[in-house]
Amino acid sequence: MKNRNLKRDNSGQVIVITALMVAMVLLSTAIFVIETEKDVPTVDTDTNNVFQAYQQAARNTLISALANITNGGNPSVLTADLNELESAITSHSYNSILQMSFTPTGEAPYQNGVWISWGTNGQGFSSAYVTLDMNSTGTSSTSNLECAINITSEVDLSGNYLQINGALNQVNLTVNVLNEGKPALAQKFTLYYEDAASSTGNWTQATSPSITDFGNGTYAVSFNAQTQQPGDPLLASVHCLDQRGILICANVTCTNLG
Amino acid sequence: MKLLKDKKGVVRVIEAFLASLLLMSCLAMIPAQPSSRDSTGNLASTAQNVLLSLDSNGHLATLVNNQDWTDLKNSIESALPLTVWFNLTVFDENMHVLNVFPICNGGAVSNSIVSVDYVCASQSSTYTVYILQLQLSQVGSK
Repeated sequence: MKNRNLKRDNSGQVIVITALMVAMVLLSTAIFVIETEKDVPTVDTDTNNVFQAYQQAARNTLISALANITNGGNPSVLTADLNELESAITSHSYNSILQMSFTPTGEAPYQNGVWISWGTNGQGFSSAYVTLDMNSTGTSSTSNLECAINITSEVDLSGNYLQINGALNQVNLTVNVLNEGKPALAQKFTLYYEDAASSTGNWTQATSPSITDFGNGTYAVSFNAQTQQPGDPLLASVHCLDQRGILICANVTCTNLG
Repeated sequence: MKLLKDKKGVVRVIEAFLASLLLMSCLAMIPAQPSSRDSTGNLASTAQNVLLSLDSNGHLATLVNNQDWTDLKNSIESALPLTVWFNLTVFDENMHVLNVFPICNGGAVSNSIVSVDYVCASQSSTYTVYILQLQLSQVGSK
């Protein structure tokens, strides 16, 4: 076998050096790309989170407006508050061009997005309903959101009364408080009763009512009520302020247990 | 034809290709560094989620309404991992700063800071809109 003299055998050296240089160029290019990528300013394009935040802000706005209206405020406050929110959101959207509009629903039973029904059948509703239409145009994508936002506080009332002594009766009520159809807690109850036979239309506030909170949106209320004549029919009324500050009222004719 | 017959250096050429392949495979085996785009995206998402969860029952606006900056700081601190630095600034609608002292968990520890603006509406009958700017940074990032 012929011995190779490596000192004199120079064939292919240029190719080896070239290959190494190409590899070095590739390597340095890769490192350069990695390093420069670190300093690229990025824009968060996760629109889902942003839309969720806007929906939450709209929900809060509806709660605020409903709390205001049910406590004696002007119903036009809903539109004013929504305009204020829209202005705040669009002026602070830096990542995209944002177009949004709130439309208070006019479909029955709502009027300008508000429905307040404090009935005599034991059910009371305070509700606000708007549709939110939003269009976001960013540098790389366009997103569109259309959704309905509904805030409803409800109180369901049932009751009976028992004659204690003469015209003095013990009234027992069961009150269920709901927010968006789910059990919710109340902040405060104010209770009234009326002797239906006297038909004076004067409601008397119940003094020192006993209220038992079952913790699941159900309350048992008990108080004493004086009627003009023993056995007179009795009406009861509950004014309930829920945890969100929304007032809901409901009246019911109590069942006489004898 | 002469070049085709000239077999000198063929083994060296193969050696060179093998060396290149070796280098390239070493390069491929270097663990991929976490992209700054991903980390800032995650931090921005974290910031949004923290504010959104605090705002879900109106708690966030109540804290701002009451100017309860200590509770606000504690709430955000408990919602974030220990390795995340934060600084919250509360503005009114006219971009006037409301918090009288910094709501943060120390000095900034990184040059890479993510900032998220959050529009917070109050649930109280006296309607107010606040702009919350939450800055986050991962401790230990470049």
